[in-house]
Amino acid sequence: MSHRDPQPVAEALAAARPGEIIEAALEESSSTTVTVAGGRLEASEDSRERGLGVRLFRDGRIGFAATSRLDSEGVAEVVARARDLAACGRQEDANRPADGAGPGEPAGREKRDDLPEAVPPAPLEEPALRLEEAARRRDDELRTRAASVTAAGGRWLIAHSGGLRRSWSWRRAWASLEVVILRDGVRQTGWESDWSETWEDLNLEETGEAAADQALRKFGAGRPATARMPVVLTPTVTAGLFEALAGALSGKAVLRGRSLFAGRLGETIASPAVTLTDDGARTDGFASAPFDGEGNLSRPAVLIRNGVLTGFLHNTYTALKLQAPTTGHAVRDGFSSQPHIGSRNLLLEPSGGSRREIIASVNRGVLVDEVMGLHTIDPVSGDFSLGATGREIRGGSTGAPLQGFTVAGNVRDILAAVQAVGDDVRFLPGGAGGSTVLLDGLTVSGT
Amino acid sequence: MPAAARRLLATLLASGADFAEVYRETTRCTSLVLDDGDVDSAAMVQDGGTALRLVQGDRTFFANANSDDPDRLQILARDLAATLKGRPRPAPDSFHHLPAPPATAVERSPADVAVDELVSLLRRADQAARESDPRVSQVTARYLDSVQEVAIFNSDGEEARDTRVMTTLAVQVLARQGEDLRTGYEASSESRGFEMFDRTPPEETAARAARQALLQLEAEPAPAGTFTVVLSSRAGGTMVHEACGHGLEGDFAEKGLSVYTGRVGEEVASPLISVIDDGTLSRRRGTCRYDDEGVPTSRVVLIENGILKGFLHSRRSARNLGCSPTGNGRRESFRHLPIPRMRNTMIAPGSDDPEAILASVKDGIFIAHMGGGEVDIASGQFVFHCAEAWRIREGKLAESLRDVTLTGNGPEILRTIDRVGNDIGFQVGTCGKDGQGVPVADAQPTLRIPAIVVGGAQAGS
Repeated sequence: MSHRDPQPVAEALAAARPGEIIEAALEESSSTTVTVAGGRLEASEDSRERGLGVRLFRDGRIGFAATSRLDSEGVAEVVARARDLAACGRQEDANRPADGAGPGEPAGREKRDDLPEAVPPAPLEEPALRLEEAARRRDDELRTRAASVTAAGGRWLIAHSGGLRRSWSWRRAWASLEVVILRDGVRQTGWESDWSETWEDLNLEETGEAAADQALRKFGAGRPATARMPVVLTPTVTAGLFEALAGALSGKAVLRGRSLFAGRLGETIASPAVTLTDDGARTDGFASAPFDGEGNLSRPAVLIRNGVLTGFLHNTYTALKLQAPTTGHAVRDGFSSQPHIGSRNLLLEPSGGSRREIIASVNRGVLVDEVMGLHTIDPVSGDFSLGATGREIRGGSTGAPLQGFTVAGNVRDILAAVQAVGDDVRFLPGGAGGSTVLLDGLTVSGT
Repeated sequence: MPAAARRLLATLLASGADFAEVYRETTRCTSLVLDDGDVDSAAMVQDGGTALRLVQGDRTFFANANSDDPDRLQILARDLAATLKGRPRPAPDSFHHLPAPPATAVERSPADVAVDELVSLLRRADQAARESDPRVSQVTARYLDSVQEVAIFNSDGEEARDTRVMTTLAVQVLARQGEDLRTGYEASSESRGFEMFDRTPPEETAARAARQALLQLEAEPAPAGTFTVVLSSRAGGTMVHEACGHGLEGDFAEKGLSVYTGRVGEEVASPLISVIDDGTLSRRRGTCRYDDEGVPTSRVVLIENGILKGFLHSRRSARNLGCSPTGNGRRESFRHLPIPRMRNTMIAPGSDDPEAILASVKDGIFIAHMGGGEVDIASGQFVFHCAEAWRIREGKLAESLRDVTLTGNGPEILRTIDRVGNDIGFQVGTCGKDGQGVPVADAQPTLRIPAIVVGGAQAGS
């Protein structure tokens, strides 16, 4: 439809027959990662990606095919496959591509036509070494599993033959390290990460030190007694837990009767301290982008307001089916992934209080620093039981380290138990942000 | 292909690196999802690319692109080689194949199966689950196949080619009783073609998933505290995978990070325990002829009668620990560096009668089916979720339990296991490590653990 479209997109769209709409998503990206350990370069990785995903809409049905072969033959084949598969899909009016109205490019941003090649192979060895060195300054005996820094960038173009064209580019850098400290025959691990738009803005020193401190404070850990008690979650744990919960807030799960929140719009499902939002357009989140994976404009979704369920995450299909405005939550994991509903910048909004104030308000409880097994949370029933590592809270301050215990309950209990949401918000790669959160009672299982 | 690979190797070896490798992959996947009685998603993905690797001492230089365009790849190879400034070495004149386990015959390649047949397969699963009980409220059946063609050439003149065919059916069933909504999940997956369904019909997988969901409806909340636990052989091998498998991967050992580092020859488990990883088992999910760096797969004895024998190795971890590679260097795709990974990991059967093991427990918990898990390699601390569990009272199964999680320390648990059954059961899964997912299978006999922390929501029992 546009002369400016790259050849694979132009060819795919031109292949649409009468009665068909063809949507093409072209991903171009590149990344460089440098990993160091023990003060030496261990690996340098360079990755380039270029691929096309095609959805073919016909008679209310959708077929999807994707390919990394972008010559004319590859494009013709991917369209033919999408057409074949469209024959077997569910037939529904709501199976439509995104509405093409509105701006095609992010407002107020300079179009970067030169990406992704313009993301230069960044000089990442020095920052990776700095990251590791920061951790080693905390403890001489510390060993590094890997300390790595990645710089990545790319561009998406999503267009369909019904008249939609959206393109945007992105850049991200992230750093992470995993360290192990051996002391008196006991090994403890620490892990930390940071991200930013460019590698120059990464907080390497803080990140390195935090990983070392996380390992150091676990030595001498005991287990708490099995009981119900106040639990404080760190920002990382909060983000992980609420991201796992996002599955139940997807319009698709609601539509298919797979959500514990189905049919409860307008009801109180959480404590008044809970306001849960997800805005793909906010500028400070890892998943921020002007459009979603179908080309819908990213916009704020308020899922829970002051404890009342007010909405769900939608793509074009679920918005039409549930007669709600689309929220721009169609997510593509890459060119080979169909757009599916996912959280982007999910956030439990701060309701006041700093981390220090929250901990100070607890007389006897547990601070949970890390959890294991987030992927085992049952998004249908909402039941969870997670392995945990943390610290005792006694008289308003953190004390002895704890390890090898579990926290268990139901997501409903968590929502009802939120007493305070701290102001130390942190977004993590992966679709959610979090801050320090106080829950007034969860079952902690230890000795 | 060998000629193109040789040209790339020649460019790479201009760097004078110790080792150079060209890894080429094409993968074709079909996936169909039947949800709420109709096909909700139908997708086909054709993906492929080339990965180039240089190793100089301890340092690895890696580049990949999803392309087989010779000009693009030559530029990639030249840029990669330019990072090292050694004395150029010649590329091998010819390539030879290393002997490997025989290929598994594929009777019906997924590529030859029509979409209609896939739809009817999913409908059979859907129907079987719905007919099993009126409380079944929703069924999602997923079909997934993949055909991966791999060709690997390296500077030692080795060539490996492998075709990996995988077929999977996963069924999720929801059962409802009033407000209570429960899930059951079951998957069958093997390294073989569509003929898998002749032996494991979709109805069987669906019925097992439905049974799990229904059991959960009737189950009591799990108690919290320390209990004696019997793991059924039917429960699968998540425990061996998390509690010891990851700790026996060579990359952790190589850096001194694993609890098992430097302990080869020492007693690290009960004498009743032997742990094996076998990439050569016929048609299992972790089975291959060659690993993803062209090393033939093998049967690796990790722990024998409680004594640590060795680790799972990639080329790198083997070299750094002075061992031979074991065929466990795996990568999710050409986009990743190969790292040591498990394939089909198992605790070998012992001599106890499984019934007698159950009968020996006065008060405890019986795990009939395990779910996912996770481990912290350095400390050995692990957690895993149980999809089906029962209370044991007076040596017999009593009420069923929901939301049971076991947490413990891997090496500690392996030392305390005091009964090992003469049976064995497999479970399939996808193991995640460093952002790479690879297909695995795990297995174990019936086991008794005298004391382990059970994380339930029911405190104070």
